Amino acid sequence: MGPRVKPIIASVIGVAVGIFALSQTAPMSELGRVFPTTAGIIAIVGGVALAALTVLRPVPAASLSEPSDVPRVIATCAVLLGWALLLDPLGFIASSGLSIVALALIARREPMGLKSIAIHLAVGAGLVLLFAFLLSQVLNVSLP
Amino acid sequence: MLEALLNALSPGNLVLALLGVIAGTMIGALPGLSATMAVAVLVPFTFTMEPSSGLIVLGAIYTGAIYGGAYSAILVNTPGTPAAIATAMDGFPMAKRGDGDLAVTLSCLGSVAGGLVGALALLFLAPPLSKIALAFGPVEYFWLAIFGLSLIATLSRGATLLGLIGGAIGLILSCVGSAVVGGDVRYTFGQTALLGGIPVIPALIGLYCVPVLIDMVIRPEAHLEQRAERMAGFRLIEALGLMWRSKFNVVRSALIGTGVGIIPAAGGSVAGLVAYSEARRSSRNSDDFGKGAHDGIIASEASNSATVGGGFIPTLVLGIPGTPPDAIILGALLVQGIRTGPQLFTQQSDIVFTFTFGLIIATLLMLPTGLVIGRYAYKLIVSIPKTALVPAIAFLTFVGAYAIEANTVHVLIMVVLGILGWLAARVGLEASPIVLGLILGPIAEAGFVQGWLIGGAQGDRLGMFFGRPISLAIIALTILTLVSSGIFKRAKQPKEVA
Repeated sequence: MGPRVKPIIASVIGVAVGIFALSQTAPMSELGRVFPTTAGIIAIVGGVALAALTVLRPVPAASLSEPSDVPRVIATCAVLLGWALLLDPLGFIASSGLSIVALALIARREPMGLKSIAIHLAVGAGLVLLFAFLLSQVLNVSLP
Repeated sequence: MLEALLNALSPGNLVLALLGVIAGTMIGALPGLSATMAVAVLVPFTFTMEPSSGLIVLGAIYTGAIYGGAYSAILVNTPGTPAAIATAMDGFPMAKRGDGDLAVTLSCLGSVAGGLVGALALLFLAPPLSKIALAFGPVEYFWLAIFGLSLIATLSRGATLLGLIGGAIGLILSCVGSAVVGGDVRYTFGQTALLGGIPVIPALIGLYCVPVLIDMVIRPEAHLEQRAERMAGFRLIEALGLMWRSKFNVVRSALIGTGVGIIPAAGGSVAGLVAYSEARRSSRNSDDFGKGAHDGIIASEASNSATVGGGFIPTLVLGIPGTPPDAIILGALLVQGIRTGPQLFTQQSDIVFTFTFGLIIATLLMLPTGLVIGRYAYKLIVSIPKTALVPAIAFLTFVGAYAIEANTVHVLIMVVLGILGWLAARVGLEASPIVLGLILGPIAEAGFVQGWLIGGAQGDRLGMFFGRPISLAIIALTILTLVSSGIFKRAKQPKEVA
């Protein structure tokens, strides 16, 4: 991304969120809409000002590029979302076990030996079972 | 007082204080498992104890939990408790560059110093200081929240407009659900799960922790830099030297924490942010803040630990809990048959003073406990490979987000906000201003609406908002903070250019 693209995207986000916030205030009471309206206006003004400054000021030096690994990002987000959505249907232990294995595979960059895999699996299973016991038996938190 | 001190120093109470600090520190270190939860979970165990012993345990757990939040803030950039938000800002950069052990030791020393100031204020100044709590009405809360929001200018590190947009997004997020006054249902998209609003702790975990997870996955290098020569000790002497050089920062931050702690519902997160902002504003090296400044960690930890003692002042003197853990401890007091109020310091002074001395002892015990736990936590995080660290942190975030209300929707909210937070951070919208808006929005809105209604009923809205001494003092402080940060920037720019 060029040096001007990021602030422009941020300003578009600010303006879009602000317009959305304002568009939803019609059915609210007079006092109930004060804060959403104020926050929406701040977001829009901030976004417009940022865009204007970005366009008007000299082009800043390009910053160091951030590392990016799109397949890993998508896979991580998919696992996290899937984990959250599967908590109820699969249950705490099964969904956590599957997701932990999936995340370990995504984070892996070098081949792992059998011993290492066994240790990872044992520690992961121990962690899940320990917290399942702690939550359900000690803290009386009902688990899905 | 001497009898109370000896009672607090009895072997039984010392052991209870130590166990309380250890339990609190470990619970507080886990993201999502807050000080409130630590106290709430363990409070039933105190019902069979002597009142003073039970209170010492609860005070020790609370103290330990507030400090414990610093570990995850420093080592994985996820505040274990909301009070540690400001700790993450400089703690994690320090850990990234290989100074995580020093950051943990500094946070421990800062917490002990702040905790002692708060406890001493409780011991000697409780009745007069409690009057401050009574002087705070809705309008003062409103202005206090506005003051807190003005810190966005400080937190956004030169990118004020980006901070402003982030703060506004946080404010809009805080409006989701039923309005705090009036009951308007806002931005719920017809989802009953959103009626209660965006839950703060899951949002906090998501916005801070999920981006760290994603970054850990995409970066091939180690999570934290490991310096073998620095893994042997606590770096205590070095940390003590830094603390001595930062002594004014320590005292100022501890006093801010005590003062904010006295104000009901303000809490450690507000105290930490205010103290952090003041430390940065008054520092000669303000540009280092956010990049691993020692003073940032010291300010945050000294102030959030000082809120523990400060919060007990209105709790014990007025029966008004300063924070949620104070409310639980207040309930425990009532179960023990202790009636709070000004007479508590005369009629049942033995219990109060034993408790206060117990709190001081627990704070002192935090030093060896915190250093030892912190050292091993640091070594553990540094040595664990990413294939184990990423799933372990993800699992703890899920546990933390779920355990608060046993609600899977909160977990989903945590994940969605986390992914959006990571995307937002890629274009410069950092998490801190968003979190600040989310936390302070409801306080500001409730204060504004109540002040508006009361002012309207009295026929003097202008006087209600601008005619009260404390309000005027906070307004002046807000303006001073905004103006001075601008002046400093302008003063420094020519030097940098030259």
